[in-house]
Amino acid sequence: MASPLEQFTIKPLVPLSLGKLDVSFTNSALMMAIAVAVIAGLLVFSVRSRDLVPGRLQSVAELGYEFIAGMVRENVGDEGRKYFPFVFSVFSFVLVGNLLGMLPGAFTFTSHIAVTFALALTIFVGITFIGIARHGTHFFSLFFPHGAPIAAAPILIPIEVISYLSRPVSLSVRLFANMTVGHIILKIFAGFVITLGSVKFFILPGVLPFGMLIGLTALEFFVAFLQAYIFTILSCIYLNDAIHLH
Amino acid sequence: MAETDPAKPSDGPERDDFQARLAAARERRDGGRDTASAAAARNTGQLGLGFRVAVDLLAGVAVGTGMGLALDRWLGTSPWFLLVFLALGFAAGMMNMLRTVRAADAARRRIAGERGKRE
Repeated sequence: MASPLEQFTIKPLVPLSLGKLDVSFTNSALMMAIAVAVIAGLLVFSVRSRDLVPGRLQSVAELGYEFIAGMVRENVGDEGRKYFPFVFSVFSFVLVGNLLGMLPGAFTFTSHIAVTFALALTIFVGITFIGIARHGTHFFSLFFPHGAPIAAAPILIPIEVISYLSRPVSLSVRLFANMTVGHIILKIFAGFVITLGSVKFFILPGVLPFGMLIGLTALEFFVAFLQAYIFTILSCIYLNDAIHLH
Repeated sequence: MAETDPAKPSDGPERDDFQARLAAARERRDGGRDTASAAAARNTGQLGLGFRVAVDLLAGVAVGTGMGLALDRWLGTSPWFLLVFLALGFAAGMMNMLRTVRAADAARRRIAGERGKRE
């Protein structure tokens, strides 16, 4: 049985180097490029007809738009409207990345902490800049809970700063861990089907893990949606904090 | 075993779940504010919430440890900053957890309240 971790190996497809830096075009980068192409293709192609009564593809695009527009409105308010393109990009990139990983043999780029952390860090730094640009130094009042005694500041401020800095960590670990664990479990159960199914008796022992595998695959599709959703909504909540400061 | 006995009443949790979804669908139809965080509380369930909370704690401790190690290496004061920031990181992780749980709790209560109003 192949190692369940084998599916996460990064393979350089086009070896490139920038000085001493390895910038090879890898299978991970390829999947990201495909994800962007799929998103762009779906959005551009589906709304081309501009039907008043949307067809199937057009309603997928409209549903996605309304879902994220609603999420931004609920969580950030009207000021969040101008950040909609950013939030929508994040959501569609993560969602399509998760779903592409469900194709047999495909590489899941969201199962790499390097990818999710870079994504989370971009969001985090961007949101911090937005907050500072809107509120100036007043932004740092975020690090001191409203109404707490001044004497508690030496303890509370470091805690709040660490709590703030831990946001990109928890954001990225949550997505990466869910995707990695899900795909490992799928691979292990698929291995069970093969090993149990080839036992001398009959193929019967393999049926049980196969049934489990079907259920797990469905669950994994659900997780793909859910994690993209959680990633996006937490970004919205952080954006709200930066814009409204509590 | 696929079909269940029609005479048997459906289980409590399933019923609750259906009621929650129905309330959410009505809310959406009426153009009300179906808060996304409420939807999150509805969707993730206990296991999902547990995992989120665990990651929250872990992230706080990890960032605290990282900052402590970096400061120690920079100032050559090992292990003092590590010890201090480990404790602070733990506190920050606890704070993260508390916030996540509070938000989920508030969302859940909001759903329950909305359901109560309608019935």
